[in-house]
Amino acid sequence: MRWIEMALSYNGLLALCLSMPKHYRQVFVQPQSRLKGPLLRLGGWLALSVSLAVGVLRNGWSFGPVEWVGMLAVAGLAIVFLLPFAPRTAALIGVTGLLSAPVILLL
Amino acid sequence: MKDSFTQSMDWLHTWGGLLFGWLLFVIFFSGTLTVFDKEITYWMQPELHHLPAAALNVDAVTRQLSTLGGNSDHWWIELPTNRLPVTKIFWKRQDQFEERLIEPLSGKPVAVRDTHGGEFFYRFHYQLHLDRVGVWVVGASALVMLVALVTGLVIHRRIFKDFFTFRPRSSPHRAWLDVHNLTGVLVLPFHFMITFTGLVIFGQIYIPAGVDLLYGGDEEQVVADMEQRIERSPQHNRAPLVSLETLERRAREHWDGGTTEWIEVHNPGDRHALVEITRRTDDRLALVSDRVTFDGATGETLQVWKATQPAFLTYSVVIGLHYIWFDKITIRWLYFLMGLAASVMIATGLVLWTVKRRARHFDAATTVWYRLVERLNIAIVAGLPIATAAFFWSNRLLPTDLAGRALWEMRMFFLTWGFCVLHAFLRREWSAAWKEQLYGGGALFACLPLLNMATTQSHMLITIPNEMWRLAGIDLTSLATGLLLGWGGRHVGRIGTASQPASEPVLETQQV
Repeated sequence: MRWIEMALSYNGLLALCLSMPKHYRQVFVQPQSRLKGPLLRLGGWLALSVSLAVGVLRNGWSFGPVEWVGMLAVAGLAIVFLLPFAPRTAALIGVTGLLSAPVILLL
Repeated sequence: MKDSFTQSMDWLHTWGGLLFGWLLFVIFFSGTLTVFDKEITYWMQPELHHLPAAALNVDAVTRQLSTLGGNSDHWWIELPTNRLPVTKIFWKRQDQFEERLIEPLSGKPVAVRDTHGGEFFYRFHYQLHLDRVGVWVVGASALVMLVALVTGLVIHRRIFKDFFTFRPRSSPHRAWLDVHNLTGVLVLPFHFMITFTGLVIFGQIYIPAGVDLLYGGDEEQVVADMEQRIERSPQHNRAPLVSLETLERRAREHWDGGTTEWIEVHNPGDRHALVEITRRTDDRLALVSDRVTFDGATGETLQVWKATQPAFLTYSVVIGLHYIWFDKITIRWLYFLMGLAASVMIATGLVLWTVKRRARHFDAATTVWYRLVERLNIAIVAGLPIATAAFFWSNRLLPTDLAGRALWEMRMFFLTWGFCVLHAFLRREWSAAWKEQLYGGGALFACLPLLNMATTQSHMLITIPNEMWRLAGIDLTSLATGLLLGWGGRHVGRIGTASQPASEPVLETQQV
């Protein structure tokens, strides 16, 4: 559950970041198509909401939000400092995290 | 002051940030270490590393206590935790305090090297080792920090546009400004929360009107009224003490799953003995301890105290957010990383002040002042990590039987720091001084795990295979810190070489 919360907050922020054309170009080189921006924004906010819900379910209303805000801050820093140096890696971490979270949960 | 609102905010941010930045860096850096205070204490006492986690025999500990502190009038037992698996016993005889560390299962005393451990950083963090004066200095700094956060928001006009923007290959000024803004904006909720809650902790000292008006300035009486403890004077008739093990178990029945942190005995062996059992705060956000009080001679339950007053509970949640005495390892690591981000934000702010002014030319007096700022930046930002590393090194290298050993560890910290200050001021080339100190700190931290291998039986080759993460975490973090400082040393030289291109419009972004 902790991994799901982490993966969702990282990917949510990454989606919000990539919804901005200049950051989209950093990862995918080609310019953003018209639909992708709003879709990424919607997906980003959705992922962040679900990660907060997971956090509250896991930790209750006292520790849940505290942990969630901290995760957002640290995930945001990780994304921002990876993008200029290793943009593909920043995106790969997100995908890997999302795919491996259910596996870790089942283990 | 300047003409427009934004410009005066800018002025306030720049000068408030500069003058209090050095203090704030020290406070935030030591606070970041304090997040792992108990883990640091444990690491600094290798004699404890063989103890099993959190097994306990209260009666064995009590027997040891009555042997050592037999005719004293007050006992305390601090029970072991996962974070620090050792029992501490204290006793008081005519205002003379004694304390010992005890093996939780056998009740035997453990001989441990004398060290202040994480407590050193804790005291440094909230009072700079200056007692009441330090509390005021830290409070003033926290107030300026709040001002700097608000003014920083006001003058950062492209806050959403630049939310994820980091341009390391741009001009040095731009690159450092990006780091300053990112560590500021992305971690902003934490910065506000930690600064505000820090101020609230000593609210009664900073704003004593309530205490003065209602209690005539008697702070102890305020605490007594909040805690509502039962008091009894000794009757001077002997009566055997009821088994503390039994009382501890009975106390836990009131706490649905909560565990015990303290057992306190007033007048042990007297007919009027009182036993107070205090709940650990490791599973709740509020920093408040429920308590059960028993008659020590008869075992009768006298009081089951739980915090219910709304104002007191609110205060407890606010300061609980700052102290993080709860045992949530994920949140603890997040606090550590966010504290690090805050330290980086302050350090980059200080560095920016000089980077911005480096390419210009000034009269002699101003030049002296700028040189002073540059040197102080080096001594504080690069020197403090070196002093911290020296503190850890001396813990492993000083002879274990040295008299006043804990004091010597502290002396090594301040002596090393003093040396860094001298080096920062005497080194002709400022960029060389930056480089040497950052590399020096990096080397000390990176080699700390090696020193640990040479001096203890709880180094990474042993702790990692045995999953002793609380110990391995310190070695691994120290390795990472070494790499980070080394990286800083490599890049810091570049900030002075390229000056800003003159074509850059001055008001395109905030001024720092």
